[in-house]
Amino acid sequence: MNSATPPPAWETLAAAYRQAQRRDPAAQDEAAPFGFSQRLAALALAAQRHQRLAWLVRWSMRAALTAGLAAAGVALLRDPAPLLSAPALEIPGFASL
Amino acid sequence: MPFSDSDRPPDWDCAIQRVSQGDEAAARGMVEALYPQLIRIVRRHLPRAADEEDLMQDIFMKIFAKLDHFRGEQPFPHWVARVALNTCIDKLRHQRTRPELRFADLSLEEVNFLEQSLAAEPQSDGPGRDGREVIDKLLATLNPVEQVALRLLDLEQKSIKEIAELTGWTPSKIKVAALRARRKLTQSLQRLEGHPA
Repeated sequence: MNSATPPPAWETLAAAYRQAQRRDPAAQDEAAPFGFSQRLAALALAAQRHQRLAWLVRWSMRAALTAGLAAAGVALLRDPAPLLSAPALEIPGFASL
Repeated sequence: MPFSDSDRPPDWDCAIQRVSQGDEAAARGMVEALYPQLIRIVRRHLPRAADEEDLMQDIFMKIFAKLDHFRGEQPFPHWVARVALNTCIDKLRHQRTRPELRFADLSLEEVNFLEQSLAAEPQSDGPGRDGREVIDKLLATLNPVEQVALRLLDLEQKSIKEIAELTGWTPSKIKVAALRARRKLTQSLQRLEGHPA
């Protein structure tokens, strides 16, 4: 059996389907419904703007975080003492016990 | 203007550039120019879809969202057709596959059409909508890849090369899917022939 050849019954059905498809006006070119392109263009461009804004916000946050880390690094290199030394712990009234 | 002359094909590069810059008129023109091509794809692969307009909206939103990824390696209408086809396949995956087509599921007109076709009787005026519905019902028993492969190969008579370009599938995947689909359909048709009650 040559399995690559379509079976005759299916072949007949497919041929009938194609014949009907060619004659069906619904299968022919159909323009977009009224207002569809306008609505979709507005939606798509709004989504595009939102996408760009989200990108800007994401990279702004990253830039701010990097700048903060860099500033802390520079401060640490210039004078590490105030940042690294722990403040003296004094508990009032503890010495009098 | 990319869509100014109806006799000439649209200037897609110009249209893409303008849409990327936020030109609403260009986006509208793009929707109007692509709609007939995409509605044909949707109707052929999802003939029983009730939410056709929502599906078209999904397809166009995907096209606009991915517009920056279009590199021009293939013509723009081909790239758009692939987006539409993949959306249809996703939709088919979410639909439940009909387990088996039974004789009782068919209307009288569908039975007549099937009997005439199986007896290989030429139909003088061709099948009506019922004739096509019985084929849609038969195809609905296949998995999404098999359905799409068989529709493109046998109903739209596209070549393996064309289908590979359209879907991004390998030729062997298409051949295997079509082979399995035809085998399943042969079994379904034999069952329908053998158990007419």
